[in-house]
Amino acid sequence: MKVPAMIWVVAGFVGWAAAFGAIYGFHGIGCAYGWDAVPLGPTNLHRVVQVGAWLAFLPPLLLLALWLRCRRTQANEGGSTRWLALVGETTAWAGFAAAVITFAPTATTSVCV
Amino acid sequence: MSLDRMPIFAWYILVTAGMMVVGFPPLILGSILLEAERAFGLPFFDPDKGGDPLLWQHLFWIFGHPEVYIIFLPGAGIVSTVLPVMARTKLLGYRWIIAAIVALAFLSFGLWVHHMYAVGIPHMALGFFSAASALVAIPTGIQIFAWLGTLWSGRPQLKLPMLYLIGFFFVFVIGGLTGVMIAVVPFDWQAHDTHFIVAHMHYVLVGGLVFPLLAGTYYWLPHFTGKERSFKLGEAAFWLIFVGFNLTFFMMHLTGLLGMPRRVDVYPADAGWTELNLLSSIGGFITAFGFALVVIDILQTMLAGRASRRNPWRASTLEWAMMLRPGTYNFVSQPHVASRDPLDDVPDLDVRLARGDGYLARDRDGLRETIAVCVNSGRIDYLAVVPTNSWLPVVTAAVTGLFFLAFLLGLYWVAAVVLALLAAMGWIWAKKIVSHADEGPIDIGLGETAYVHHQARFAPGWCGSLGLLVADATMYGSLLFGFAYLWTIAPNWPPPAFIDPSVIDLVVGTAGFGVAAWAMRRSLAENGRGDRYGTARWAFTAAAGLVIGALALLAAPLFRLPSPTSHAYAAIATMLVAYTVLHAIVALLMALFGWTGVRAGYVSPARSLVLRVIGLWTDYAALTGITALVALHVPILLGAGQ
Repeated sequence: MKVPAMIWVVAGFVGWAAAFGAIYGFHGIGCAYGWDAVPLGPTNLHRVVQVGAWLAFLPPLLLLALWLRCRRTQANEGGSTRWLALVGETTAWAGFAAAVITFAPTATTSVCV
Repeated sequence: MSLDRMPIFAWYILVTAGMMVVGFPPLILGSILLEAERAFGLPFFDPDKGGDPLLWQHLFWIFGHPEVYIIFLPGAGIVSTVLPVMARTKLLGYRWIIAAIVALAFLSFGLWVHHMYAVGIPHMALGFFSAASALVAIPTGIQIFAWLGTLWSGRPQLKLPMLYLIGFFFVFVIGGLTGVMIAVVPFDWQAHDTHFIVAHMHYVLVGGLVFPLLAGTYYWLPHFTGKERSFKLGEAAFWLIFVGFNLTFFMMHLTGLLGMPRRVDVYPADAGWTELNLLSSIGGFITAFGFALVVIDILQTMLAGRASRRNPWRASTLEWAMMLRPGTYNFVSQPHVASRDPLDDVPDLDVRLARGDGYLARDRDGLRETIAVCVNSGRIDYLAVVPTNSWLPVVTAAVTGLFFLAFLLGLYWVAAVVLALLAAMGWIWAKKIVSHADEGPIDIGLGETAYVHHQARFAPGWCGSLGLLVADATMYGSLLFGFAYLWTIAPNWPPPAFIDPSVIDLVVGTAGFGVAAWAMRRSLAENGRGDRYGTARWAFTAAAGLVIGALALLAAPLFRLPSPTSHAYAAIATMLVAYTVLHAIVALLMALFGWTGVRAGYVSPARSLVLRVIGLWTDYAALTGITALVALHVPILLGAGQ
């Protein structure tokens, strides 16, 4: 089935929202079950899960932005598909940047305090 | 028109509508839980029984913060529409603005906890919400700079709408900047619950909505009234509102920083806030005079203004191709839109449309019709036949009101009867709107033809159901969030008893829902082949599957869960069952409607709309039913209750 071009306008931020839900969800579960008290290397299990989830979401978001860039360059010049792909590419890069910044506290702040 | 030619205001409203679909359901769920606690004693928010008042705060603010942008975006849409006309140029950065409002819409759902910084949340979570709160300033800033660039590149005229836009810039930018300040957790802890927050909120909401609304009111006043303003009352009103508003609320930044809390009507005389509060009060009176003058100005224009000429601002958007005031039909015929500025392309478009040189110029049997187009290409997709006048919405609203009234008065058996009545009305409504025969392509003018929506893939009924189910899924997601939140965060957990888990319920219920979803697909496939008997048989099988799934769910509160009033665990588990069983019943009624509809001729290989809508609802009922069964039984089967 052909995916409507409109979907790509929101795809990047749908990815960001999915990352938000997962990372915030892991945070609540980890604090409830004491993952922060389980040592793992130089840190603890909870921080590894949090940072791991953050880093796991970045490559797909980056690939989405790059793929939309290819899609935009391949679309017909001046067509509405190209225009939607261009908006989609813009929001995909913004979604990627938002994911880098929003979840950076996983690496730096105290986990459950 | 295609999306890249859509007026910028329509883009803003599209994004706002999307936000409303996802933003309101958490609040609706919170209200339902609150009413269930009040009416039936289900302790969702009672800490003594494993509930948590913070769950209410989360559900409220998941709605409440996007709501700020739901209020702001239409105002910003007015700015993006009116500003280029006042500056006699085109809007700069159309694409960037659209990307910015999409970003803003999403980011606004990731900052609700910045209203809860002071409730005691771990630093990591505060970090997420603080970062998102600061980030949201970027798409807002992109719009501000696009508007400034538009002004810079044009030849602005200081007419009344422009005055209000200047007021908007001044007030909203101050509100935005204080917003960035309180996005920072340490500053917010200092300013929390003080007048500083009151000042910020008013600068954002009055700046972001009221000033643009007043600009829009004066811009579109010829549309509402058909008249032109003749006196300068509006200019005087603007200055009163602008000065009065700033006098009122700027002072609150200062009283807030001096430590004055919100929501107090008395305070110590030696606190040092008296003079500033007096100035705020004077400002309030001045603002009130300003708004009174706006009302007088509009009334004067309506009663004694000169008749307005067409397109008095020389704008390029379609609404100015209508008569002033527009007729009830808006356009005599509908235009073919080839660019974002149709009135620039065809200056006499208003005359041409009034002459009937567009689509749908001829009335077809008194039907109300409009054209639906492909959002991507702008090509004509189908002819949508919209409902004619009916008392049904009024009666439905009254009956729905009766349902809530019965709840408030504690007459629960009346509420149950009303619910059954609503289902019956839904059945009658559905029977009224279905089509009974295939139609060939219809001439819509300009040498083109289109099929009616009953025979279209993305018909309004299907798209509307999808939108409703997205809203519904948000509510269900919020319920699951509440379940997980109480389990992991709330005090007085674990509960005295968990569910008595049952593999049989899990398997039978999942199978029932799975069969229902699969059977509706088979029904649709048989309809495509023209086999009416097979179509009806599979629709009936889907109904049977839904009954089995619902019974497996109902076994939980009837036999396996503790009393729902004993602990928040049992309460929210019961609510999960109530939600999913209700949806299974709705899908069941729809499947039965489909079963009878096949025999009554509501569907054919060309008219599969009814079955496709039922398929959507059946899939949703199956998905929510199975996830509820999993959420109820699997954690306990895996030992989470130990």
